[in-house]
Amino acid sequence: MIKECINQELRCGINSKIYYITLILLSALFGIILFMNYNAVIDTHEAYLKYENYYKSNGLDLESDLKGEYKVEKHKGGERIENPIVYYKESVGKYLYSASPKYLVSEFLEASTLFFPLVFGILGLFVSTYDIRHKTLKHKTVRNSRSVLGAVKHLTLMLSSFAILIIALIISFIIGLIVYQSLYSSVPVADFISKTAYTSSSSIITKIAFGYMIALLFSEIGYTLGILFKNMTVGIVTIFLYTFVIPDLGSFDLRTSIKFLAKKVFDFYGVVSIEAPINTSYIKAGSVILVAFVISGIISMIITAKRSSFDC
Amino acid sequence: MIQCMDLSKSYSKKCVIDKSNFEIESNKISFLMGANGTGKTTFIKCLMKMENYKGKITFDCKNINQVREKCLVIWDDCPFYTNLSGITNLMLFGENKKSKKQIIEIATKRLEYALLKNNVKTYSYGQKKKLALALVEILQPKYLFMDEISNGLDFDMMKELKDDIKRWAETMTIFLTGHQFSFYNELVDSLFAFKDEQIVLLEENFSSCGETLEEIYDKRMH
Repeated sequence: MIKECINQELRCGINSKIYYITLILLSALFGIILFMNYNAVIDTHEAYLKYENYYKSNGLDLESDLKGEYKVEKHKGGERIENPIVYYKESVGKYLYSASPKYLVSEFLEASTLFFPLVFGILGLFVSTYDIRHKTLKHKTVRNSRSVLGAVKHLTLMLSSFAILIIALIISFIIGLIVYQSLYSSVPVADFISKTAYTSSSSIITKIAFGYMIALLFSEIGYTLGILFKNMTVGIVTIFLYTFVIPDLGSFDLRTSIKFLAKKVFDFYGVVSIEAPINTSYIKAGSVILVAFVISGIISMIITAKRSSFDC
Repeated sequence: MIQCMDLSKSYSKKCVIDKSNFEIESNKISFLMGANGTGKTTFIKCLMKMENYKGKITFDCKNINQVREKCLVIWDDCPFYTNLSGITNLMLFGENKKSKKQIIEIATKRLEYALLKNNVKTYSYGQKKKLALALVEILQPKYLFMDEISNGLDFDMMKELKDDIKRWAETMTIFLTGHQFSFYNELVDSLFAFKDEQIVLLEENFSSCGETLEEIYDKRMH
């Protein structure tokens, strides 16, 4: 019967189109990263060409400057670049590397700290409020106990989050390959492939696991907000405010912990960047995330067990 | 057989069901009468353990969690996913008990195929009831509870439903609540009623008592 209940919940997600909506939303956001990366390559290449033309038109020694180093000095009014031709050449190379198949997936996953709270929060909210909205909870809790139904909803949320993440990565990766190929027609890629060895802070499996952890955490938080408010709009506004409006609340803030770990897991070579988090530690960051996950799960389980199926 | 022992249910300080002891016999049609707000729906919620209660309820000596997959409740408001079609709803709630072809066959006996393809939000109250009744045929539960099932049904459908309920009772334990006594008169085997917050068995063999539900209600409930 539990197997049938899982099947029913998964089919519910498919028929209600929420899985497709989440997948499209996530792929579209990954698409924005691709678009930004494409533009970054084109823009920095144009800037490079501008300097190259300047060198040529003024009879300056381009080759000797290209062998040199660049320096960026930041000050109040902005930044001053010494030897900009090298800076722009390396920037083109860096963005090309970010757009390349070697780094694409990592760059999508770097965006997990920005997009996943909202995308997977909406998924969790939808899963928890769908039966409340249609009052179908009182049908389902006849055939399954409330606790079994709650556990099954959590399980399907875990499965669907993983499937949506992987499929969105695959779709976006394929589109990314096409975008990367299209760059060949605009930029002489071979001239800009950097000699710099871009090291990776962690393996791709760790990066995917980290992305999935954020997806899971916020789908769980979304689920709990849905159970708590019984309303999707209130839940979406809450997640939006927390993610994008309310400033960081210190080292015990969930966002600080996520940013701290993200900085350790990802390299942020491309267009995605996050501000440096307030100083914290691995143990503190890990504990905050774990506690948020556990508290969220416990709240939803308690409400599910206590609340009547008719209290919709 | 469904046994209720010392069943009590109250909301805050308001007692709805008070220490009731009775049995609902297997493969019979039992009917619970009571005025609006007496607790008929609450009793069904207690049976399904959707509300906390005091006392004990067993289904052939088993607790509800051991027999849930054999239970079905047709609620008065017939909840379905209104943004999905009737067929999709039956496929979802049908729990793979029947194939799509079989589900369509069962459902088209009550509703037109064209309507079944439409979203449930376009259905009338009666059409939603018919959809819920198709679910009975699909799931074929052992314990069937129907809350005010005759509400919203047209005359032809009520006639058909009477025959269906009699047929279902051959294999199912059926428990009904409602107010349209004329509909239930021909169906009821055992008659239960609310009396001073207690659920009591009024007639074990209603059909042989020679009275109608209306008469019993007038005489014994006032």
